[in-house]
Amino acid sequence: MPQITLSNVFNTATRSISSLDHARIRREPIEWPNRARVAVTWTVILELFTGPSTGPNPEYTGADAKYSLFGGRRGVWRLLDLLDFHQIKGSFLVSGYAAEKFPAAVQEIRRRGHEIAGYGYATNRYLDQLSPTEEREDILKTLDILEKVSGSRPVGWVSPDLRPGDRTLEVLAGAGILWNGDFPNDDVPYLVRVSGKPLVIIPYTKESDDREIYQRNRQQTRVWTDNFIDSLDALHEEGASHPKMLNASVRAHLLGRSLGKIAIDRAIRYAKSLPQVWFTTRTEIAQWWLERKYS
Amino acid sequence: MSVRQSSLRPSSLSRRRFLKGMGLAGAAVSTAQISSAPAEAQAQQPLNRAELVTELAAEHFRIRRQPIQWPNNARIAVFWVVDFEVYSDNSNSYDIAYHDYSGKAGFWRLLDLAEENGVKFGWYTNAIIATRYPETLREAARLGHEIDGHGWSNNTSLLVVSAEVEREIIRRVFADIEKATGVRPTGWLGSGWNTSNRTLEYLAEEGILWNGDYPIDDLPYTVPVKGKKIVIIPYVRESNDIQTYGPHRHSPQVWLDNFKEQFDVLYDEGEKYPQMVSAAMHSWLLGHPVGKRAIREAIRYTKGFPNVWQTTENEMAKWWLQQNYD
Repeated sequence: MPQITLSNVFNTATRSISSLDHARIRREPIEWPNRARVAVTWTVILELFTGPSTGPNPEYTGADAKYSLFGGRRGVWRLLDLLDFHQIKGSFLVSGYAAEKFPAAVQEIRRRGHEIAGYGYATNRYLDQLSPTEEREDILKTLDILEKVSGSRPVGWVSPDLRPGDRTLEVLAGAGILWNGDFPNDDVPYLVRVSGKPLVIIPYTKESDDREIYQRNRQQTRVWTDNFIDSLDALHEEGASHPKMLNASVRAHLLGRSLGKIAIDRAIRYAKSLPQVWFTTRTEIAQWWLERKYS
Repeated sequence: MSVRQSSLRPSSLSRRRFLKGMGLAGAAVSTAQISSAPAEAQAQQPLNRAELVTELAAEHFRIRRQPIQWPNNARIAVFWVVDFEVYSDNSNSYDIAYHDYSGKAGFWRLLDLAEENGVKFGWYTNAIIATRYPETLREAARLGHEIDGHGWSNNTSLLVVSAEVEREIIRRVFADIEKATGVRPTGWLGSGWNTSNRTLEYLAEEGILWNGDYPIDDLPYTVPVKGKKIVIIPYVRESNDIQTYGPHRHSPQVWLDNFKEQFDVLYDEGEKYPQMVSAAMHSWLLGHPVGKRAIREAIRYTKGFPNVWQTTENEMAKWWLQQNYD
């Protein structure tokens, strides 16, 4: 980061990721199909690392990189069975490198009818730390790999660890992407126009994400479930007048381990016990948003 | 007093702790932010203008043993504060978006919770919000909530900028908030409750009544600054969500339990020796749906007791000065 001086200390909205389009506040309610109060997406991240992250403070070590192989070998299969058992469709965020190394897993995700979106080439490659050329190449290469392996081109994208670069949205719009999930800034989607094209921003909920709770802080897996349930209760209450959305997210190599299964099962059962909850995927939400012409 | 440069260059680990201590970011975020700093910047001596304990005025060491009185002989004063924070463009993409939750969603939920339960919050406001989310400040002011100064953006500590930049940040905070709301703040909490050796002086020049940067007592006290009495209202880090929910991701239930335990002890002590307690929520942490149950329960818990003064820091500071407490 640059040194803070009088010339930059008061800067806001000077970057694509901080433009005032992202700061627009929606106060008027939207509607979900069948008058649902809350839309819930079940996100599974199948990620790989090509190595430790670079830089003076590596976010991930070589051991973290190895740890992630569990996801393709074992975790994702357990989670696929759990979703099937509950007859729900998930939103799978997949690294390009994971698709290259575990094509059978990616094909199985597709075969069972789940959504596949891009999640960077590898999670140690933060898009905001790459050169503009690398940023673009990582995005386009990943979309190509996912299309080749799964048989259909993704229409959604989330940047590794929600760290888009300043050109990411432009590259995505140019590549025909419908929705982006990099902005954990609201409880409802919003629309931005990038190079004249509409892009639905579907906020990501970090509060019920296993990396923060389980990996980084080693809280019990039940904390993940409790947080999801408290969040859903609050949104279900608010959703009576202002419908909202919520994301539950797990990584195939984290809560995809045996330790996570009971926690995820409890979250799904709780959500199923409430009326007017829309179990959906991000692509369905994006299509609904565009159909209804919401801003 | 001169502006000092730190004689120590923090290692990456201590730098990480330093940033976390300032409350700049959730767990991994601050480290990632640093890792993107260019090598040249890393090699520079970072400024560190933190006020040293050895420089503190004598009043910060004065011990109060005699009891005070609250209005209507309340046993305890309770105030609710929100760290209402947004990041400037000198930050990474994740931090900017995560803190934008404050203006788009967190503010509105917290405001509704306050109104639903008949209490007024003190909003520790980064003045960037007057530019980025002005309608939030207008709404809080319209409903009679208190808006306090809290730096310009939360990724900018007063300690790592020059004295000239610090002075200008403080000036802008008061001016920007006054312009957006029509009301000039009279209280201040620094981002990360940090003070340089000039901060109180600059704040006194802007006409503040109280400052919250000294978490060192259960009750307020006064210090003379530039010939005027400033009321120090100690911040309660123990019931701040950034100590439990933020970096460590303890369940919001832990925040609630910690708050209730403190309240119980202070309410008990308050029978003979009136006390004070506060709960702090970050608009981008417990302002999420995950925090709603815990916050609601905390407020309702305190409302179940008699002799509780539900108040704000401006009201407390005024009372303190009226009673001429030292």
